[in-house]
Amino acid sequence: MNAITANELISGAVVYLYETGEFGVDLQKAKLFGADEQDVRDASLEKTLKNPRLVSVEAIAVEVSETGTVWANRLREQIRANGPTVGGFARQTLEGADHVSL
Amino acid sequence: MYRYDEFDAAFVRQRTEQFSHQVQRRLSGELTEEQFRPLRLMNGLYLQLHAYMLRVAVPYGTLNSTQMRKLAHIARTYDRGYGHFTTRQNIQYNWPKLKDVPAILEELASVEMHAIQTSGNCIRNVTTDQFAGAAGDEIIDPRPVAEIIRQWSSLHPEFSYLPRKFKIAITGAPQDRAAVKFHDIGLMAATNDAGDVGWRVFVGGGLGRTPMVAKEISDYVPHEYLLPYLEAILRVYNMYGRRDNKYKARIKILVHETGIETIREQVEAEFAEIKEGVLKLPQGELTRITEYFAEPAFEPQTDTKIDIAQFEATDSAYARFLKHNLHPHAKEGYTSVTISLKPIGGVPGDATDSQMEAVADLAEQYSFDELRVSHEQNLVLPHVAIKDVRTVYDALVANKLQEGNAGLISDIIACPGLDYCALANARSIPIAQAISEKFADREEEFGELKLKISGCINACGHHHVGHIGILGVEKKGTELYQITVGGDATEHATVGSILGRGVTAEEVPGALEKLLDRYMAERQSADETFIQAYRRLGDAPFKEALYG
Ligand code: HEM
Ligand code: SF4
Repeated sequence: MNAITANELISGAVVYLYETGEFGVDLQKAKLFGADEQDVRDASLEKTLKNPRLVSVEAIAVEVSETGTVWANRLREQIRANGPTVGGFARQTLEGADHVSL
Repeated sequence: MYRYDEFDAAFVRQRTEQFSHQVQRRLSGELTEEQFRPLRLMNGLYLQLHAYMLRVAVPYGTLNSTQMRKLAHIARTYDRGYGHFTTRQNIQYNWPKLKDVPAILEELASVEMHAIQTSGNCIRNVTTDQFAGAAGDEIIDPRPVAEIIRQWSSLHPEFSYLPRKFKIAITGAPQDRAAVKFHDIGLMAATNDAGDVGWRVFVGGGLGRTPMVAKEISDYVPHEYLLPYLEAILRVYNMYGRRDNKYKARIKILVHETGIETIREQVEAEFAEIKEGVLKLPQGELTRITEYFAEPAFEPQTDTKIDIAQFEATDSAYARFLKHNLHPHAKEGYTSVTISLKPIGGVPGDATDSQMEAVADLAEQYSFDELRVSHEQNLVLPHVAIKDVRTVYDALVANKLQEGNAGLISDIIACPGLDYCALANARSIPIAQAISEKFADREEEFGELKLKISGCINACGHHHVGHIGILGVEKKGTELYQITVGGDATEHATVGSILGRGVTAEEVPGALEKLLDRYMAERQSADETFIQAYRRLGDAPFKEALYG
């Protein structure tokens, strides 16, 4: 499965495309694209790339556990989703809101 | 220390304003990311995994207390209360917000600092020996020439779009503490037959995916001709450097493919044409710049030595500090103090805002207001009177900066790796932490050992030149670490050799233990360091220790 991720322009924070069409920081709320939804995914990706508030746009591979938790496959994406594994720093927050309004 | 003249000040102010407008235009949507990206990179602003990263230049690693306090203020006000000092003697902030960057740059400009040319295919911050202007073994203080190179290379119109980035390092001492042979151009002070001091020039060194030791292109260039000579090298590189392939674009590849003899001929031909031109440095100008770096007002000292033995039983941590963190000074009664940014289990190179302020206070009170950043990611108080060492140490203890481990296994160079870096394949910082914790009790026993870790083949953590080097790679989605031995960044420049297949993160400390136990078993005496033992023994015993 895939999710769509990017960094928000002003804060640089990691964000994901949600079901609602908004972008927010929570991978658990990410819209998931199944293997048979590549066309929809590519269309969403295309649209996201045009959003001036988002940079480093990418589709990433994710899996859903039995309990419903969304997991990024690559360690790089796990670190983006959870913050650095050292130093006790929380992730970057968005300016003023928990999602990017479009 | 060099002070901006009107030109420098006006230029930095202008650039800050310009970038401020560019940020506004980006935020308002007038500029696309594609248009904005090169502009932000020219001002040292990267986008990393979690946030932007701002790289601020510390020219040849020299700072005063006012500048250090400003760095602390920026960390506290616009970032998360810390900064990361790097192997290129710069500082990086890991969490600035784009909207705040213009304000940060304004703050920096107010103390004569900036982030220009800390990214991109231009000539980067010139680096030097962290003990420059203080070291006992120095032939000449390299900072005036480093400053002249800074002025020449800043915004040089011909060299703003080189085939690839270009790094210059310079040392005034025969013991190379600036890794000059692993730079695009390395300069080492040299004396000619007449007894004059000039520069030995090396070209084509580098790390990254194809590590190379620089080759000597000239054994002596006098000060007055140094800029035309450097200009000639840059022109040859700019003309012939490979722009067709990013991985082959550094000058090291040009020198390797063309051969140093041909490059030398091309450079000499170019040099002959421009030698007597505008770049020739009049003695008056050199003197003028040198005056900025005048020796501080040292005073005769009665305390000239510290008897370390007396502390060994009563205060072993202090004894360790005295043994490892003091460097011989040219002036009797003074010493250079290394402030380790490598607490056991900490993040190599990180300093908090309050630590930076404490260090600034110490510089002001005890080191003639001078500070240095070392390429080994530590800070240095270059001129401390021997009588003040205990007071300085006590202040370091109060600020958790007292680790007496300079040059030991826990004094690790590590790049940010996958915890921050968008290019990384594997993490570096947790590996460094695990190693320093594992060997905390034994580091004294191992003696001098340079351990360097990179999170990918770009080699920002200098792993190729670690006595032991660790390179993170990604294999089938997991982090693996390749171990190299025998690298050396000094005047005996050597690229380390890979021992064999990679090990997992959990296995790294155990693997190092095997190498170190073997070294302890094989060494001829406690004075034979790891690297000396390696040179005598070669790979074989270490390979066997690691893989059986
Ligand atoms: C934003 C984070 C960083 C990025 C994107 C980055 C990128 C790179 C790249 C692409 C190279 C390879 C250049 C080449 O071989 O042509 C490189 C080399 C290097 N970087 Fe970094 N780097 C980063 C952080 C750092 C840090 C934190 C340090 C210092 C601790 C550093 C110091 C160096 C050094 C010393 C080299 C090797 C010397 C050389 O051959 O140029 N870099 N970097
Ligand atoms: S070596 Fe690789 S992982 Fe480390 S900072 Fe450089 S580019 Fe990033």
